[in-house]
Amino acid sequence: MTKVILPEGNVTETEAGTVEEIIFRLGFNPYEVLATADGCLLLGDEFCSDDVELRLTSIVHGG
Amino acid sequence: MADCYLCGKRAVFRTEDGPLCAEHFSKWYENGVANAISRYSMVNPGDRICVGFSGGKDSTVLLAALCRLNLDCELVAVTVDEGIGGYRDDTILAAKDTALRLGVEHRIVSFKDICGKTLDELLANSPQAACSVCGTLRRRALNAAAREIDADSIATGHCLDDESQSVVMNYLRGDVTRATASFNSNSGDLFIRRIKPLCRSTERATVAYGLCNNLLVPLPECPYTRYALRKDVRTWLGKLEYEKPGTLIRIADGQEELLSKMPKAEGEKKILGRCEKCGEPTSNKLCAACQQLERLM
Ligand SMILES: [Zn+2]
Ligand SMILES: [Zn+2]
Repeated sequence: MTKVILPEGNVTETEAGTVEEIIFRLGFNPYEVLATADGCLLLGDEFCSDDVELRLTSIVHGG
Repeated sequence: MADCYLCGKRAVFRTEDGPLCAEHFSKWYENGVANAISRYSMVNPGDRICVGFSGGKDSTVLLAALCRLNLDCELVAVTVDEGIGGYRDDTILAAKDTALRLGVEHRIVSFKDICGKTLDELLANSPQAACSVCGTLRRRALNAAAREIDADSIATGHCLDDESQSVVMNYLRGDVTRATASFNSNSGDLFIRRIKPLCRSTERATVAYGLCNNLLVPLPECPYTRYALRKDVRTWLGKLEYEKPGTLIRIADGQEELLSKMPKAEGEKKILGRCEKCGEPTSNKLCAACQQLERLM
């Protein structure tokens, strides 16, 4: 399973897949979230294997 | 995994020209900001620019990008402290830290300074008015700060998404007056010029730039609920932008073209006077901020 840190800070796990598949699966609009691993931005078609810790950042601005 | 089409390194962002690595993406983003600045002649040599700097994602990127562009101008970052308990303190610390790192002069003005009360105190009985009250007072606080530092213009972090959302919202509300008000409108000489250097950059690219350049720290969201219509429009346009990339810029460009074809109404330039209470420019007896305050105090 791939560990995913959600925009609000909660942590979840999901099956491996491409960044875009994972974003869809977790119910986000792919335009509205960016994914990073080890602080590096990932493209949507990049494959995330089990050992990757994916962090999602919402592009929507607060305040 | 795609490679940067310019140098072959690992790509971090897909632009309409192709995938780019962190370094080339940052250059591409900064070029976009520079092009917007020259497209609308936002900056004149020697200008002193008051940068509205909330410490959030957009304004942090705005400040950093303006620094990197090495424009012939002076930047002063101004943070407005609305006085929102449990939310503002962290963002103000982050703002201080960022300004220091970027080597930009930083000032903080608070609602308490300009009207004697924090936003929380003002809204104690009418929290549903939060965004409109906050917006009006923030504008006044920024204007006051800009005047104090003798700024030629006020730069804000509004990006392409904000502009396109506003265009669509005006149509959805049937607000013809706003829909036909010019884009980078200057309401007379009494106001300090407003510029939006990120107005051609998408929110997505803006946040990506912030992440690539280690500019963003996770911060709490504003506790006051946002205006519902903008939220719906944002979600809807975000979907469209994903399915049909370029939707946002086409909306903004379409609006600009439409406005350029409209006859300039002579009556549009209202003669502005001064607010009886605070002296701010307004076409009414009291300015919008004083009207708001009168209702809340
Ligand atoms: Zn490159
Ligand atoms: Zn007034």
